[in-house]
Amino acid sequence: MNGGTNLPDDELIEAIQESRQTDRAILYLYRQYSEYVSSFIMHYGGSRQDAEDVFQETVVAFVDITKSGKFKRESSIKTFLSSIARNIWLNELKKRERSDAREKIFESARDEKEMDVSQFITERELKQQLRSLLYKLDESCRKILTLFYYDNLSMKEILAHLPYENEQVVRNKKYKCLQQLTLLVKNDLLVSRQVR
Amino acid sequence: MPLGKEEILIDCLDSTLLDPASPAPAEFRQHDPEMADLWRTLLMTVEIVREAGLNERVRAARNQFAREKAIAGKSRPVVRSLNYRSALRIAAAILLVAGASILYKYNSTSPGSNFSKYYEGYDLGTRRGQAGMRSWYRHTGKKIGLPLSTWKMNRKKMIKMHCFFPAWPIWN
Repeated sequence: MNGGTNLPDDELIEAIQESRQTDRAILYLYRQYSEYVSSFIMHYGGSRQDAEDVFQETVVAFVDITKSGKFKRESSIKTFLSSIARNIWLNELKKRERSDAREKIFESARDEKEMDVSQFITERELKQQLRSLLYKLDESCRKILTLFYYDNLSMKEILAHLPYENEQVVRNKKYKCLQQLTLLVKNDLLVSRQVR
Repeated sequence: MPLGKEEILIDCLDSTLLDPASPAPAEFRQHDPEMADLWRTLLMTVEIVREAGLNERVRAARNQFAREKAIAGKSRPVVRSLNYRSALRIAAAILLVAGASILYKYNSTSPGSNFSKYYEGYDLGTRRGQAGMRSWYRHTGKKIGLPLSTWKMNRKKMIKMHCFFPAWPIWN
């Protein structure tokens, strides 16, 4: 897959779904669509920094949705990305408690024909909140968990990336890190329920 | 909850993630609500780790993209506002229409059509006024002189002298 040339939507989606060259697929998304989505966010009152942050979240959401097979290909990738970006930016505006007028204008700009991604975005917001918990762990824990659960590396492969003596040490470390994170998540969910 | 059980659950989780076809620990979830709750939390934790991993990758791509732009001579990605893009489109449309009309005008204009549009043919005649009256005027002028001939002509109210000589005083 060449990130510099045009790539059919189907091929890009397959590359993401099969976790094949995901990094290149993400870079391709940046090269092809970041300008369009950023100009859209800036048109609706966002700064350049806002636009870049929203596009980053948009790409994360897009890859997540595509990997889970929820993207039904009813629209083009460009349209779908715009839809995700709109929802993320709308939620961000709500958080910032911007003026109602701007939100009304923004709401009216929603295209009814587009796929409704607001539900996905709401689900993702919870994940995003919980994501910060991972940063409460030390770096070695974050790395070991990411290598195992995101990159799907075996203990042997992880050993090549990290300075541990043997696979058993890596395995024990991973257990401890996961337990630690699970405890943090459990406590956070309990607090959230109590707040509600 | 004993630590051993949690470790067993984590082992189950890992094997389920590695091989989605492997059976999930249903018996735990059915008989022990606490274990079922822990199972859900573990799944969510893994989701968070994956989410964070993906976020790191996207951040890396964002940085690489920014570097590419910087190398290409632009420190930041070129982001044009929608208004600017619309203005460019309108300008392009005007240019296109103007260009097309100039081209059409150039092709449809020829020296022949231009002449027939702006000029009309005419004959340059050498005769002015009434030929008979002019002959009478000349004839009388030879006989009695031009001033008298003019006076007579005026008396006859045949023609005013200033018709022939616009600078001739009107009272003559």
